Amino acid sequence: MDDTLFYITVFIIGLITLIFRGAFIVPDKAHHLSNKLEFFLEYIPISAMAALTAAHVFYTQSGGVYEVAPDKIAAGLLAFIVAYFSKNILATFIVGMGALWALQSLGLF
Amino acid sequence: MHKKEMILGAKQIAPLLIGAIPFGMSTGLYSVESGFSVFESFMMSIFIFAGASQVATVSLLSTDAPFWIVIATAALINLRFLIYSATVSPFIHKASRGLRTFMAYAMTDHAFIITTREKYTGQDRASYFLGASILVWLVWQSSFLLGSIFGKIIPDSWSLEFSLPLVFLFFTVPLLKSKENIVAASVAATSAIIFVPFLPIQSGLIVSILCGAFAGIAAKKFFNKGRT
Repeated sequence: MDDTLFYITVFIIGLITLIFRGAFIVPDKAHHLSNKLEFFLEYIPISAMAALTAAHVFYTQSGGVYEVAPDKIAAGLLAFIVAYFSKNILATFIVGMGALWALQSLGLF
Repeated sequence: MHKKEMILGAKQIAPLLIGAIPFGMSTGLYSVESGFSVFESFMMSIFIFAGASQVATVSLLSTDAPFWIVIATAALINLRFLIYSATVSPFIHKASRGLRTFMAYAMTDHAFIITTREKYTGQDRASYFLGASILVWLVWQSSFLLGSIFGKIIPDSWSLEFSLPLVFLFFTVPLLKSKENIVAASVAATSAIIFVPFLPIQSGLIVSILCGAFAGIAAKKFFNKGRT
């Protein structure tokens, strides 16, 4: 992608995001979200987070080629357990990264 | 705008930002590791200012996905802001249009959560929201910039890009408190594992998010039917 197309893409995403954020705030007249749209939007955030997490934990990507990453999967599972029980971001971070480094240095995968 | 309320908003959101710092740094780092310059990465962060969609944008742009796929995926991830916008609208409408536009630009999950919680007892939610949003913006952009600058120095063998899914994971776990959310997350994650590497034109992420959202809706209908 060339520079111009990159900036156009980024600008359009920024504009769309601003439109979503400002849809009910910026216009002077107050509007309301329809129940149908609210119903559909309810599960978008959790689905987006879960899909992004899975894609980045399960695969290592290089030049558009995806490879299953067993070390990242094992470290991700450990981090999940720590996040679930500790609810502490620092602990999740330390255990996840620590497990990955340990597994990589052991060369098990 | 009430200065005291703005400061209160900033003070009360500060503890929530412990998670935003590694997230911002990881996103900056991920962006330069994916081949973008510090300037390009920072411009992306300034224009979009929405973590999850920035990550998806970087991920897709670095694999040469068609630009409409990049835009559609980011738009889908940011659709939630429509709900936030509708929710905060009643107490923000008193502010001037210029300020409302800035508050729209700076709207985040963190500021939304803290401003709309039931135990808020202040006098002016618009000022409170503005103060909280300004602090989030400052913390995010500086963390992002730090991550993107130092990302070039850190060796690849440290695998620091893995910090990014760890932060996503941390934000996903607390949402797994209802059966419907668990179904939506499980379907979205499984779909991502199946579709992301195989679907053409990098459309796997967008398909996975939609699969998760529809599974959540179906689960809600199913479980509600069981309750009646």
